[in-house]
Amino acid sequence: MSPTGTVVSEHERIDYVAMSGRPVLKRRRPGQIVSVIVIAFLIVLAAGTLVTNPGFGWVTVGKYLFDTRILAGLLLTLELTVIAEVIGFAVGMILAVMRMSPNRLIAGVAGVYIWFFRGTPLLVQLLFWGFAAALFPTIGIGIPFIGPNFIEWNTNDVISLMGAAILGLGLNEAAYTAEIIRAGLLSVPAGQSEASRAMGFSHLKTLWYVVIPQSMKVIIPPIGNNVISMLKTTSLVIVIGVGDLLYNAQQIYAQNLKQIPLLIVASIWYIVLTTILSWFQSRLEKRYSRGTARTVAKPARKEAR
Amino acid sequence: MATVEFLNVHKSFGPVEVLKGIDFRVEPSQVVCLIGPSGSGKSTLLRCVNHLEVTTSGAILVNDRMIGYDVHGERLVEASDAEIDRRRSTIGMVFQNFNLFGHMTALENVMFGPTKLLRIPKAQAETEARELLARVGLADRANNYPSQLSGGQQQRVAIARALAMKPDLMLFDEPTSALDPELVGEVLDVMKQLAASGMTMIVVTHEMGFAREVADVVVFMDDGVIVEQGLPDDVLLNPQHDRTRSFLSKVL
Ligand SMILES: Nc1ncnc2c1ncn2[C@@H]1O[C@H](COP(=O)(O)OP(=O)(O)O)[C@@H](O)[C@H]1O
Ligand SMILES: [Mg+2]
Repeated sequence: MSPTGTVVSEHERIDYVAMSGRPVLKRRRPGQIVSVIVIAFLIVLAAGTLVTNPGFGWVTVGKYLFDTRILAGLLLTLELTVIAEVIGFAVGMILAVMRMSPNRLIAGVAGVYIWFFRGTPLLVQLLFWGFAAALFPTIGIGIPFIGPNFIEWNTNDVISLMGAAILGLGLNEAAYTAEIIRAGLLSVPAGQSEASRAMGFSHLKTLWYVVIPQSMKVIIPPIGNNVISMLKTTSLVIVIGVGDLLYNAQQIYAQNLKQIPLLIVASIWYIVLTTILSWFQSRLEKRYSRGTARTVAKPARKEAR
Repeated sequence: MATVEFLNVHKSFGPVEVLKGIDFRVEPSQVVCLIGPSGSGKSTLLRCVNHLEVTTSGAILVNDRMIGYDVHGERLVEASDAEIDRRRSTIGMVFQNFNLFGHMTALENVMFGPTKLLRIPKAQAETEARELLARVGLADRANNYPSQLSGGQQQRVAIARALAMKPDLMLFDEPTSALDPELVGEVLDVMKQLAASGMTMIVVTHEMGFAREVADVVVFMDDGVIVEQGLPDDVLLNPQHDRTRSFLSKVL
């Protein structure tokens, strides 16, 4: 049949087999050419502004990019990210396992935690931790309500501002991580735990040896996403005066009034770190896809390039 | 080798009663084939044996003791989780969908129970695991992940994994039902060899040839009750009940 539906007679028959061996010609796409022109124009415009507008202060940017205060702030931002995320993952894992416990009370406690920390703004939580000393001036170990404390600390000594920042970020992150991990645990087919339970492994051992390892390939991509998000969320700690990357940039422009260049300096470092983290994320994903051999089929047809 | 005794076993899921008083006995080294239409309660009965499902009333005794309960005077007391796990580890189970651990190689699957549960030294566990893989004809597949094995091969690894725990009773729930027809034979061969070695086995199956050749007793279940039980040739070739006849006419 020809495309119009009429029968093609024998003498005008086309040799499709021979043609299919030759490279396929690409179709012209006029829309593509127009869009290339428009985008190129916009890029030139943007680049022009970036170069000619003195407000960007590229010389200042260059001067402060490796300033020791900026680098110190950068290190602190990195520390906050790593520690908060580790706390978030550890506590999140415990919460997720608790939430899936057959014991209703344990599951309920985890549910309330998640409800509370997702229900209030992180900024408010950070301020609370920052002002914790006002709420509980001392922390001690003793008999609740009645007894004298055996040991007692001044809250401000125990929870430094850095500690408040870590607690605020980590405990909030745990609530979100718990939900990611729970989704990952649920993604492992029930037959896997059943086989393990039937062999005599306990509920927790089954989670640890069978379910959690297989849930990692589902958990890692969104966790990677969270780490990348956390890197920038740490900048909220400026409200309790922790000297991270953004805070130190602010301190500098409070003196020299070069706000835009210093915000650019901070942004450049945030982008650099995000890029590095994205690379790590893809490495991890490969590592955890063990046992799911997925071979990508090669494209069957050659194309003219 | 184990004995299993079913004493007036009832099981309900909510308002629905799926086992309505099951009574039978499995002697040491016997092979019992459970047959019956889909939904008749065969899987549920099997899962009650190792306490994956909890019976509503009645008792199942494995080696003369209930799994999941201790006896205190005149009453049953729930057994501890650890005790239930310990009893389960002596009963091997093979599933329709294999349920091999996807993140472990065939060898790791077989070594998993002995190393992590029985705490057998790794080198010894590996030697034994390789012997078991050889026994099910998969010595050369030790390092393959389940996703790289055919259904029949996966099921044979699953049998090796169960045997690695040195069980004295094996439960099979339609072990060949998910397999392409040409792969059924290799799994049945392994099971025949196991039966010949004296293992006590309860096998839910639709393979009537296997039942006739290997089973000591065939039990026909329908709608939560045992309709008929006896020697394979009696039940399969000369059934006494209409329900058995009508079922057999559909599967043979
Ligand atoms: N977890 C469950 N909850 C509710 N009903 C169930 C459950 N498991 C099985 N059933 C029901 O019990 C009956 C028997 O199921 P099953 O033992 O799987 O039968 P068979 O293995 O003989 O096909 C079916 O009607 C099934 O729907
Ligand atoms: Mg079934």
